[in-house]
Amino acid sequence: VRVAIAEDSVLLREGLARLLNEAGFDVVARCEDADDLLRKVRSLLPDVAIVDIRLPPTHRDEGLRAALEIRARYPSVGVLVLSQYMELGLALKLLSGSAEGVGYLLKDRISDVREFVAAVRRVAEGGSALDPIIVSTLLSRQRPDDPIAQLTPREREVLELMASGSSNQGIADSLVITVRAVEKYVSSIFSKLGLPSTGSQSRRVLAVLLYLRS
Amino acid sequence: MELANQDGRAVTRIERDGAPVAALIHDRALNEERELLDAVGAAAGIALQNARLQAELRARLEELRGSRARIVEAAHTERQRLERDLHDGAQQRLVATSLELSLLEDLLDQHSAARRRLAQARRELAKSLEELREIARGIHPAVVSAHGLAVALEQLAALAPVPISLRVELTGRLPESLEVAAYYVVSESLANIAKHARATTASIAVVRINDRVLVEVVDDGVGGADTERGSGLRGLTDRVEALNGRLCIWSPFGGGTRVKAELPCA
Repeated sequence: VRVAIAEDSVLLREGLARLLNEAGFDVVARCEDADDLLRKVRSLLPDVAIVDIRLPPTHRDEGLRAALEIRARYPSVGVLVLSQYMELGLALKLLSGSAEGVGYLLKDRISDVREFVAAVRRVAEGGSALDPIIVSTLLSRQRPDDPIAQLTPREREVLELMASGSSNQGIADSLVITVRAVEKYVSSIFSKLGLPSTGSQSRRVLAVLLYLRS
Repeated sequence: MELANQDGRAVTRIERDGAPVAALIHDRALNEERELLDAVGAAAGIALQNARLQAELRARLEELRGSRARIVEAAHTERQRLERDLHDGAQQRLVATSLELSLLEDLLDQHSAARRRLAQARRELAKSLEELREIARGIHPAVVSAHGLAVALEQLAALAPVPISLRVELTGRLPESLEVAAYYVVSESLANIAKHARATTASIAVVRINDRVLVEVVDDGVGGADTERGSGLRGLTDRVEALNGRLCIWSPFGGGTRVKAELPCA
């Protein structure tokens, strides 16, 4: 898997590169700013770009704009955005239209190496990785007639993992249950929420998120 | 004085506190009517002084408004700088250190006591990071300056204690000081709803109408908000008025609370 990294802190950039190298990824570009990243993405077409949301020169929205541009112009390149803060509005902006090959994680997640590596791989393969904080923010949102309240605790756990982008296999592994059991929970969740449960996994993620948002 | 010599006119000086402030030009015949001239002179003197005081007051007010705006702006810049320092400094370092520790942990696969202690250290780091993040976010909502009001309000609405209907009708970004003020109007209102309102629902609306931006937060709670004593509301008034805006609060007992800020936007 070929990775481009855009992160202005040298410490973190090198740390990330080392971590990914050790996990068997091929780090093809290490960039300090968004312009450099866009150049490298255009010429190297990596499988995934890991982008700090705050990049020089102004440290405002350069990272996000680069991420959105890559998503629009190079659909084969996955984009994983890292940030010190989690903002629902940014998650929605990043996801707008498709949850394919996109991730948005808190920066600290990189220190849980196994999980982080799995997230990078998932995004590189066209899946999604959404920070648990975003998912729990969406789930805890108050609603007038809350259908989330009708879910059993187990169904809620499955929903959280699903919304973070886990596959059925991933969910089964985390909860130590069979894939078939996961499938049963998933179809029960979708019918309780009144959502169609068909379609690809990323469609499924997006459907759940958009549902939770409204 | 030359005027006085024509057509049989005369001039009477009007003085206040010993200094001449105006000249009254009148028919020479009135020179005999000292009392009338004195009365007219006194009235004119008072009117002139009033006008001067009013002009002075207006100038002072303008000055005051300017200095209030500068104080709010200076506090904003300082908070922005602090948040930036935390973000680029301590927060980045802690993340990098935490990563370093977990890479170290992988090297120690057979030494279980050391692994346990490293894992404990990483948990402590994670907690520090979380605390730091909350502090930094409280100092300055970086998301507003970086990504705008519409993006920032999604999170506030999702974390609100009651179901919220959120309506943002803006095209593009607004001046940063205005976005920050609007953000605080919403966040402070939501904090008050959580603390006092006992509401079941609330709505947030941010709408631009020509050269004004209206920010309105309405809940269906118990009302009766104390608009005098709350330091939060006082602070909001400062922010809004520093931008030449107006903040109005309606909170009748039993009738919910409505906070409305009107901000001029050229």
